[in-house]
Amino acid sequence: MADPPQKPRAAENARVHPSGAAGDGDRDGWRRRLSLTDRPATTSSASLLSLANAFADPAELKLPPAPAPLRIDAPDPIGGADEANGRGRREDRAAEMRARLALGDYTGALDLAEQIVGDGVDDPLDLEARRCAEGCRATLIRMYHARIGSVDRVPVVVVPRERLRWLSLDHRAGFLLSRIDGASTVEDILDVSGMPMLDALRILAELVTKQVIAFR
Amino acid sequence: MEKVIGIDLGTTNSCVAIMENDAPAVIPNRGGYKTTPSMVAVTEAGKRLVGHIAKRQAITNAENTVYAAKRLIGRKWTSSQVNNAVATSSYRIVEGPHNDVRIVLRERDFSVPEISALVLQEMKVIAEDYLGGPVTKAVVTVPAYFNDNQRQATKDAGEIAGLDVIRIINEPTAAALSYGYGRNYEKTVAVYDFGGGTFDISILEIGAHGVFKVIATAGDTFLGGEDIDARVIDWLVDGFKAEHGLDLRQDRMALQRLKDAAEKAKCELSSVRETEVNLPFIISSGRNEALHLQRTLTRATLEDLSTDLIERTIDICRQTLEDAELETGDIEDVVLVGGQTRMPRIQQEVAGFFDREPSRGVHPDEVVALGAAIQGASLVDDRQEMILLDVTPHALGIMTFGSIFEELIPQNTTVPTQRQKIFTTSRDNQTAVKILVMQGDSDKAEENEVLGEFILTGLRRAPKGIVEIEVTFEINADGIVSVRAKDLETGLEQSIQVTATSGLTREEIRNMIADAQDQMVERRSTEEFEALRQEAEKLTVELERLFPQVEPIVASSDFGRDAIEKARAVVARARQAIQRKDTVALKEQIDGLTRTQRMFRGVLSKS
Repeated sequence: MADPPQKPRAAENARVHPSGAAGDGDRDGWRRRLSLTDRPATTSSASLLSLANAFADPAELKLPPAPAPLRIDAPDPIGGADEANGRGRREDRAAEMRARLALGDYTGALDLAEQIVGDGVDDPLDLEARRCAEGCRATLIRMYHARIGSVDRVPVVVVPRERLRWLSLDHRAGFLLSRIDGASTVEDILDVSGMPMLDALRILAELVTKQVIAFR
Repeated sequence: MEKVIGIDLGTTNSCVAIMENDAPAVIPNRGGYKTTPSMVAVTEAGKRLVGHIAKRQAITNAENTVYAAKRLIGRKWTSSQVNNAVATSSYRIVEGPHNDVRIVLRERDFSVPEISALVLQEMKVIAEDYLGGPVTKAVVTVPAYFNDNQRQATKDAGEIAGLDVIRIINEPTAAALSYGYGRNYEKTVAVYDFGGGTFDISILEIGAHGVFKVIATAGDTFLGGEDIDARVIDWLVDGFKAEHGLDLRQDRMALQRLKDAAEKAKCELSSVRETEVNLPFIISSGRNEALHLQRTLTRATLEDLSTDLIERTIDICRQTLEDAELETGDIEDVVLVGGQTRMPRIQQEVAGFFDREPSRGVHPDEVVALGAAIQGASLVDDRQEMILLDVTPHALGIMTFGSIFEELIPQNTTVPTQRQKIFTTSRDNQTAVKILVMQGDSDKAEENEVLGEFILTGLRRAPKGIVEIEVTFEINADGIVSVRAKDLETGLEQSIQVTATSGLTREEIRNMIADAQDQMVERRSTEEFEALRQEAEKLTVELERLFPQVEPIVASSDFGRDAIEKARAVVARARQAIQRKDTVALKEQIDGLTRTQRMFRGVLSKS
């Protein structure tokens, strides 16, 4: 079988926050660490965009022609200041979500989309965020699958047991490693992980990249 | 001759065995293990997991993982055991439509026989894979204390799993059968069964002509090896908290790993004196790093942690012997059953109590399934003598004045059978009597199971104790109990037929069978596709390797170029079939791939 394409890794790792900091939607430090350590230092926005376009399915991910500019809304004459601020924050987030999507930062875009959906406000932004989240998830799953290969493969831990603890891993990666017994397939491990599939796939893909696990 | 499998459907683990060449043998599962966890789970994606894979996610997906379903099978919603399970189980237990029990997994209600059916189906598949053909008949074991409803529910579980359960036998009887197989013993033995979730002690008389009598049986359905695991987990958690100030119980992933490690360490300590528990990256410190757990557990510490649990089992043994009016000297041998009995300290305690070394001739994990397989073979093989007689597992009788249970058919009576007794009225001018048919071994009626009731009316008005009523109990060869009450003076008669019920209707069982069959078809088709995919991938990898070698040899001719093009097309079509998960197309392409492989090899061998 052909080697999995390498481009998605660069695209996925390109979590460049406009301010230069890691995204605030990063729920676990592990993901942040990976992003920071694996991000190519010289990657430009233009190359990221081309990578993004290479992987995004136009049917699933509709990229806006350009990142939407940040808007500062005028105070709402009917609602209070809080409501206006809330909507402003949602629109700021939506703008950043679009920008990240345009940059091919699917993880960052997904985090923001989930935050917008999590607000529980039923408006056009919510619909856009849901679509964005769905598209990002599908793309990320494809990318991780490309790195891992068939889910029927059996992973094995290739780092000696006594050296494992010197690796930079978090407890979730530790848990997945503990499920790898040399007999269970990737699919089995996803089933027993107790994590959302996307998270489990991402961690396994990173363990492959870091050469902590390999396949039989 | 049709093969009959023997299944030990355990509370925590199950085991399947078969007779081969006149000797019983356990069939290992695909992972090579001889026992399979009796656990069932449903994943977020709706996939059903059974056995080891379900166990490996039991804590991280606790709400949707069923363990110890056997404690619930055939029980009524209102029973104390069910109340206990509702309070202590991590999965949701709700009331079923017939005062039965249902378990909710991912918003779908499962009956308990349905859950047990998934485990039985797994055992059936293990046997079928091993034997290379379908298996339809089975002997399944149950605890000696199971009543008729629990036995019927186990039979129903077998039916749902696609098995004809030709006999249900008691676990200690199966163990004794395996222990005495080919030895022609006549002796009294104790079967000390310390499993993963339950403890049972049974005293049996192995008599001549295949009569195995359970003289006494007792136990604790909430005492097992898992309680010892829990002690080890506590020890690890407390040590970690003292060192790092973090409670591992708060993290499900950590707890899952602790559970696995505790069980593994405990098993290792049966053969070594100390073992290391090493769990790297067990929990996040909260400061962007993960902490590791590393501790050495010694056998002595394990024994300290479990002393009171082991003593409880010995107390139950003592009480059981007392109740049966037996001395330890009456016991001629002790058979150990259940993985937990491998613990050296348990063997010492048992030897100390019974004042004799337990029998070493049987494998504690396998002995029950082996006994079931022996019985299964004897039921279908005319050459083999009938080994076990059908007996009533509990006494049958009626409730009399003062809530006293009056026994008509004693426990261990060989069926078919018929017994009668004459009763009188308990009040003056009593014109009707209520016959409450019960099953159980307690003198107190409320401690036994009610099987049914009916009223005999039209009795002559007379002082109490004058009117005589004859009550007849009859059990036919199919185990159906009929009870008849007759006014001896007038000849007036009323009767009832009692059939055990699992709490499921026939229609429900039919629907469950259909669902289980659908699931099995899907599973088999996935397995078939998977086998084809692996074969196709192996062939395509080899062809890809051969293309650069073959191409220069044949490229000089049009025919050769055409052949190479066709070969590439076959590989492409096989890949498409894999992608589409199209089993039929993949089968066709494998033929093409095989032909191409042969051709390539031929070209290379001639060059």
